[in-house]
Amino acid sequence: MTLPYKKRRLDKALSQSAVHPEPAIQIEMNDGPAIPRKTDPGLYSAWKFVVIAAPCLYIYLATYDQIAALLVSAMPGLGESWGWLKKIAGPEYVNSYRDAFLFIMPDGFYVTLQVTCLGIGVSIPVGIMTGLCRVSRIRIINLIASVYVEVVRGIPLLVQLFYIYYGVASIIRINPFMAAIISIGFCYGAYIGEVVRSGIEAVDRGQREAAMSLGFTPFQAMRHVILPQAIRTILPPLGNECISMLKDSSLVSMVAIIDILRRGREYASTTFNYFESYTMVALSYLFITLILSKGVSLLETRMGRYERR
Amino acid sequence: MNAADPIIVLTDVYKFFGNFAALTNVSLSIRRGEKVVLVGPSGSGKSTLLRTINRLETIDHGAITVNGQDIYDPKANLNRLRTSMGMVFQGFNLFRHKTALENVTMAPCQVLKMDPVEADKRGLDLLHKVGIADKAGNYPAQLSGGQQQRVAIARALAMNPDIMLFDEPTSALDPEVTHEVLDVMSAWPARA
Repeated sequence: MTLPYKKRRLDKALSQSAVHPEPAIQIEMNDGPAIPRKTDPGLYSAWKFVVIAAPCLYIYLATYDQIAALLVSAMPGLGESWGWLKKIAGPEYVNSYRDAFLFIMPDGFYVTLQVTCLGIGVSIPVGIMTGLCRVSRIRIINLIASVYVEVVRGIPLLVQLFYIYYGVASIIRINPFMAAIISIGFCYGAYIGEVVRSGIEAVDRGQREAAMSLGFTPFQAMRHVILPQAIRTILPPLGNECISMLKDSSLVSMVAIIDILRRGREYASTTFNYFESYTMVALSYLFITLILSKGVSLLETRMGRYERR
Repeated sequence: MNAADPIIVLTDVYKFFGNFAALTNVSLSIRRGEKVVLVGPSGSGKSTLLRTINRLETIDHGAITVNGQDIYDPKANLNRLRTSMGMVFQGFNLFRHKTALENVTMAPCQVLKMDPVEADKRGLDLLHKVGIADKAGNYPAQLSGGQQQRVAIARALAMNPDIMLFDEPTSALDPEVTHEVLDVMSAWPARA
């Protein structure tokens, strides 16, 4: 079994003794939304403050004229001494915040959530496939997945959206909604692919070795030992990606899809109440992301329970 | 095969990590029923040698024969070969998402396609033999180091291996619990 090139390598190796180089220290950076963890007290109390303040502001802005009307009807003297209160409570007063909210409310919310959910539905299967291909030892598969990730991550989502909506759609007919789902799904598929890859790589190498030593095939080892453990580490960052996706779904308003932002813009351009309209748009997104980020932190705690000793 | 025939034969094995020679010219032959202990300072290649026998590491030169079959033969059925070799690791490497019993029964169910009920029975039996049947439903994180290592031994034994490879099974344990593992190891009928 002596092979000439191995013999050469052997001689070379025997003649010199090299020390293994230390791996460079890596710092994990995450661009996801801030998750309120108890280990980060500043952020945790900030989250508690915002989660109370934002909905209160939201409700107050939507109903302040009705609150004023209630006050005036309950205490008529108050309306007499404070003229402005009487004005707000009066029938001819228009609360632009509530108008904007009602304009956004039913279908804007629905479309934003629909785009997000379908985007998640596309990007998670794509992401898992990409992640598996990225850890593949078969070079060509790994290469294809890596090229996909590099290309998609190097192009802004808005450009991808335009590319599919205007570029590709000029060659084959795609309806706007499909174009939006495809571009969001495949864009986030690449990001989720990287999350899946790092999750798989984070599973201790010994787990794979133990499985192999018991006679598992590589496929069985992946399916029964590595993936079930990787999913636990993946879930919280996956939740982060979903929140990011919800925020980035506002970009689809650029391609004639009537989501929250689009409705807000329509309201603003017809009434010129830009401030009121965009305030409600911003609060709407904040409200949803706050709830979701709490959901992710709960998920993290649940998942972490089995890991700690 | 004659009982006196060697079950593991290593001839002129070399192994490199980059330019670092981990194994140089190792030859060894172990007979069925023999217990062999490798002793040496850390970094001397004991683990590497064990791992090459299981083909968790490839070798750069030489040949390894197990049960009369060259394990570096590209046609060798590696998974079948590995089922005949149980390995116990320094760091236990229990499947952390499975209970102790599931750790033991998983390989028989998946690899040998054993009936789950029968596998459970055998698994409990093995856990009983290593003295931790009462912890069958616990996750590895809920077990002490010595208990984990005993589960790992039961897991390796569940495949009915001809050969058991122990890679420093007690080095990660407190001296007080080392004897738990050593007792289990010495109580087992003599094998390689």
